[in-house]
Amino acid sequence: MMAFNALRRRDVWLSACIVVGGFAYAPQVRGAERTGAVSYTAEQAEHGAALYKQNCAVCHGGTLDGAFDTPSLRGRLISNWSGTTLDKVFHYISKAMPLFAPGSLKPADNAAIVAFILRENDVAPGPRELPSDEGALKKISFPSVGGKRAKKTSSTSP
Amino acid sequence: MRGFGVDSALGKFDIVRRRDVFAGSLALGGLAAGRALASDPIAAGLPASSAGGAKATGESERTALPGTIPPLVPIRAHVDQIVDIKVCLRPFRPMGPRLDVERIGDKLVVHNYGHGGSGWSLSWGSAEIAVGKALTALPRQVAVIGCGIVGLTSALVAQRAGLDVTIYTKDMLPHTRSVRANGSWTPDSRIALTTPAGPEFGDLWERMARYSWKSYRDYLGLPGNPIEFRDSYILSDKPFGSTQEFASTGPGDYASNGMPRSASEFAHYSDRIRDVIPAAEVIAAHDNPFPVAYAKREAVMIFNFGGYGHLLLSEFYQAGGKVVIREFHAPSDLKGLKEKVIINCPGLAARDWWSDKTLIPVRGQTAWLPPQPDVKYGVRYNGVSALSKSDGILIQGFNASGLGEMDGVGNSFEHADRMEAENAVTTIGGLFSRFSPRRG
Ligand SMILES: Cc1cc2nc3c(=O)[nH]c(=O)nc-3n(C[C@H](O)[C@H](O)[C@H](O)COP(=O)(O)OP(=O)(O)OC[C@H]3O[C@@H](n4cnc5c(N)ncnc54)[C@H](O)[C@@H]3O)c2cc1C
Repeated sequence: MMAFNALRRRDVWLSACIVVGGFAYAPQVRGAERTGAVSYTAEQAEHGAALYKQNCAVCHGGTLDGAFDTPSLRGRLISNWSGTTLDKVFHYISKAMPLFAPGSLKPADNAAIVAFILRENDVAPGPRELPSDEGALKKISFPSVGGKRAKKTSSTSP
Repeated sequence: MRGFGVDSALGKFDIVRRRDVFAGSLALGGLAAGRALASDPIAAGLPASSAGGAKATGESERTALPGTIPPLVPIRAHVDQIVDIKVCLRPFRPMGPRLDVERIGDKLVVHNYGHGGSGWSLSWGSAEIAVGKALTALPRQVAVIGCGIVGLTSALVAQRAGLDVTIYTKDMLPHTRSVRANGSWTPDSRIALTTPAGPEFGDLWERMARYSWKSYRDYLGLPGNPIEFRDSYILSDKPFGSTQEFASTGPGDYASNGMPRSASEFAHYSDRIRDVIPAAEVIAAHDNPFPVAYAKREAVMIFNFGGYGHLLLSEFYQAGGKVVIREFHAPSDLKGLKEKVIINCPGLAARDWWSDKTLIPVRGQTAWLPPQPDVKYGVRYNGVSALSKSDGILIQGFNASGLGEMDGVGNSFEHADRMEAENAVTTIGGLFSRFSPRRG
C-alpha cells in the first residue's frame, strides 16, 4: 500500500485521543479560551441535516463516512481542519461544494451544514447560532478535541 | 491525437476512405509505407491531429502486412463483470496548463497544474519545465504539493536535479483523480483551446510531449509492464471517410461565454510529433478478424496505473523523498513550510485552494472488468473504447453525447453513472458476441 510510508501528521495524536479515555470526540473546545467558543443551535444542525441529505449525501454518504474517492466528514475531517479557524472550512464549503454545483448554496445554508457536521463529530450544540459570515467565523477555532493533553499522554504511553 | 484516443473524442477523426487507401497503396506499391502528411484541419471540427491518419482528401495510409494480425482472444465484456466504475474530472484550462511562477511572501511558487485530458502523457515534460523554473532560485530542497501523476513526476525530476524533496499532499496516488483516468498516450486531449492558448503554446506543448515521450521509454520492458505498447484496433461499420459534425452546446464561443461551445475550439498539436509516433495502418478486408467492415490498427503506449504508480513512488522513497499528508486551505498556509521553493501540483483542486477560476472540470468515466492477461490489445468502436490493461479491462464511452471534446465540459458530477457504464460495456459486448476468432 502506497500510503504506508507517509507521515500522517495528526494520526499520532488522533489515535492517542482515542486511547486516552475514549473521549476523542468529546466537545472539548480547546480554542474557546483564545477565541470565541463554537456554538450552533440544535435547529440549525437539524436544518443542516436536511440540506446535507439533499446536497452532500450522494457523495459523502448518509452517515458521513465518505467512500474511496470521497473524504469522510468524521475523523479525517477533524485531522484536516484542526488548527484552523472556522471561516476556512466555511469558505471551502461555500466555494467548492457541492462539487456538482459549487457555490450554489446560501451562506446561512452552508453555516447550517457546518453546524450539522460539528454535531456529527460530537460537538455539542449551544445557545447561539453559528454565524454565516467569515469575519465572525474567523474568531472561532475549529473545535479540536483534547489536543495538547492527549498528545502529551501519548508520548508517555507505549 | 491518436491511439486509443479515448480521452478525447477522437475516435472519429480517422478519416480514411478505405477503398481509396487500398487503391492508393496498390498504386504506390512498396512506397505506400510513407506516412500521410497532414494537410489542413479537417472540416466539421475535426482536429488536425490525426497524425498518420490519411485524410479524406485522398492521401493514402499504409495497409498492414498480411499475417501481422495475431490470434485475438475475445474481450469478455458483460455487464455482470463490472468490478469498478471510476469517475474523474479533468483539470482543463483553456489557455493550457499553468506553469508560471508566483511569489507568496518569501516563497517561490512554481505552478504545474491544469493538464486537462493529457496529464499522464505530458507529466514528465511538464515536470521538467516546472523544475527548471524552481532551480533558478538555487534551492537545496523543494516542496511539491500534490501526489497525482503531475506531482509525483515533478518530485522525481526535482530529485534527479539533486534536490531534497518533500511531497505535501492530501492524498496518495491511489486516491487521486489521476488513477481515475484512462491512461493512454493522449498528449493533446483537452489540453487547451486554440485561441486562448495562442500560437506560442504549441511550442511549449511540443517540448513537453517530446520530453515525456522519451522519458517513458525508460519504463518500457520492465517487470510488471508499468508502461507498454498495445495494438489498438479502430473499428467501424461505415467507411472511415464519413465525417461527423459536432454540435455546439450554445451560441458563441469561449471568448464570449467563458466556456467553450464546440469541439472545434479545442486545440490539437499532435501533428508536430508525428515523426516519432507510430502511424495507423489499414487492415485489409481479408485480414480483418472483426465483425465490422472497416478496421485500422495503431500501436499505442499505455500506462498501467498500479505497476507504474508503485514504481514511481518507490523510486521517490529510495532517493530519500518524504511524504507528508497535509491539506492546504489557502495560499497563506504555505508560510508554515520549511521549503522556500514550492512546486504546486494540485490538479483541479487549484480551483478551490488557489482560487484559479480558469479551471473548467471535464467529467469522464471508466468501467473496469477483471484483467484478461491473454488479451493484448484494445478496440475502439461506436464511441466506446476497450483496452486491456494489467489491472483490468477498461471500457470507456468517450462520446456518449455526440459532442466530441465538449463531452463532459463543465460537468463536475463526480459520481458513477451506472447506466453509462453498462451502455459502454454492452457496445463492446455486442461487438464480441459477433466475433469469431478466426485464428484463435
Ligand atoms: C476519464 C479520464 C480519462 C483520462 N485519460 C487520460 C489519458 O488516457 N491520458 C492522459 O495523459 N491523461 C488522461 N486524463 C487526464 C489526467 O488524468 C489528468 O490530467 C491528470 O490526472 C492530472 O493530474 P494531477 O496530478 O495534476 O492532478 P490530481 O491527480 O488531481 O492530483 C492532485 C494532487 O494534489 C493533491 N491536492 C489537491 N488539493 C490539495 C490541497 N488543498 N492540499 C494538499 N494536497 C492537495 C491531491 O491529493 C492529489 O494528490 C484523463 C482524465 C479523465 C478524467
